[in-house]
Amino acid sequence: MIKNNFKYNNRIMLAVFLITIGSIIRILLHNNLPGSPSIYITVNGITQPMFMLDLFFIVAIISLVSGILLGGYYTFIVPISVMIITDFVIGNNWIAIFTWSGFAILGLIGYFIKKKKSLTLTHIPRIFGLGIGAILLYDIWTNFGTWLGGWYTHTWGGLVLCYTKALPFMFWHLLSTSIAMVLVILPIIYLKEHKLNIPDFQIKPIEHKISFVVPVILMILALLGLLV
Amino acid sequence: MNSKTKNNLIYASKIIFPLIIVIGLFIVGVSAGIITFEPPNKLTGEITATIEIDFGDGTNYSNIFTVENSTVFDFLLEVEEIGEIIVGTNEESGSYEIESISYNDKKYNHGEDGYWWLFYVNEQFAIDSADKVYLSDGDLVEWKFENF
Repeated sequence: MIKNNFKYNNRIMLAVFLITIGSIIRILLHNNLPGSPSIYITVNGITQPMFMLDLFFIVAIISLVSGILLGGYYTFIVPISVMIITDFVIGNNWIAIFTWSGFAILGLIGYFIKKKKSLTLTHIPRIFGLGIGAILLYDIWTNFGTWLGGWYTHTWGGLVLCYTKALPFMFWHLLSTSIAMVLVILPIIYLKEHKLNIPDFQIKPIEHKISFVVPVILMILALLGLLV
Repeated sequence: MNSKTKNNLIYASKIIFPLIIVIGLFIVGVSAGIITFEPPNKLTGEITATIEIDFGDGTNYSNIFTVENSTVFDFLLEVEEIGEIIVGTNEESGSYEIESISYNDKKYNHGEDGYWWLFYVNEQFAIDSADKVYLSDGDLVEWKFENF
């Protein structure tokens, strides 16, 4: 009983730590990002910077780590808490629920890695593959939101333009989050392989189900928010 | 080759091949001119475009301008130059951000009460800053003071 309570509190403490560190870094780096590097890409007749720098990678890595280490409810509680706290300072708009649900999906993919017991050195390619897939899913989902929300005309051409304009953000998300994964997830794997203080929390079946249902509900709410 | 060496090679290839593909695509992009290290060339000659400003409270402004080598930002400054509006700007990381637009003695501040200055070119939302978007002849620029 005491041991379980200790473990449960450890889980909350780790969640609070992740929320705090994610919020502080996102707020501190806000307005302090350098300008886009002088690399340009021409796609679909549109020339634009290849990388548009933003702070996606901070929340993305926190989401993945919360899924990998904590799992369950925390796959969505941690990233959404970081977003709510920091959006309160930085600001956001109607796209917020799309980005929040996007990060919940990232957390869920982290949780999937945990459930499949893939957090080992032999599974590094799979972890990176899933991480990159999660980033692409996030970008497809949130940019679909900007198209649906009326920033572009509701035609095939508008949708193509929306995704073309989103490419610099996607390239940056892939690059920055891949680097963040090397810097954060690889040490976690190393510590876990060497049995050094990386807890393995057990998830109850009901918590497991809820962690899958909540991102779906958020996605439905995001769509309803625009359609109603 | 024993099975351990074979497994190690398969494992390494799963990491190395994607990296080679990414680097290869970048090199092909540079060779084909899709990826460049110079900003897009400015359009030359006179550009005629319509500029519309929606102040979000029912007030609207519209005019047609002909300007040389012009970005969306230049067109907005053109409206200021003829004394119709006053534009407040802030330069950050080499880009200009609109801080306010004043019209008929009323100042509309970017970010005030959840209203933000956004612009659309030919009804399409523009992600880039206004000084980075070059217009073509006949374009329609809409500045909207929108509430989120």
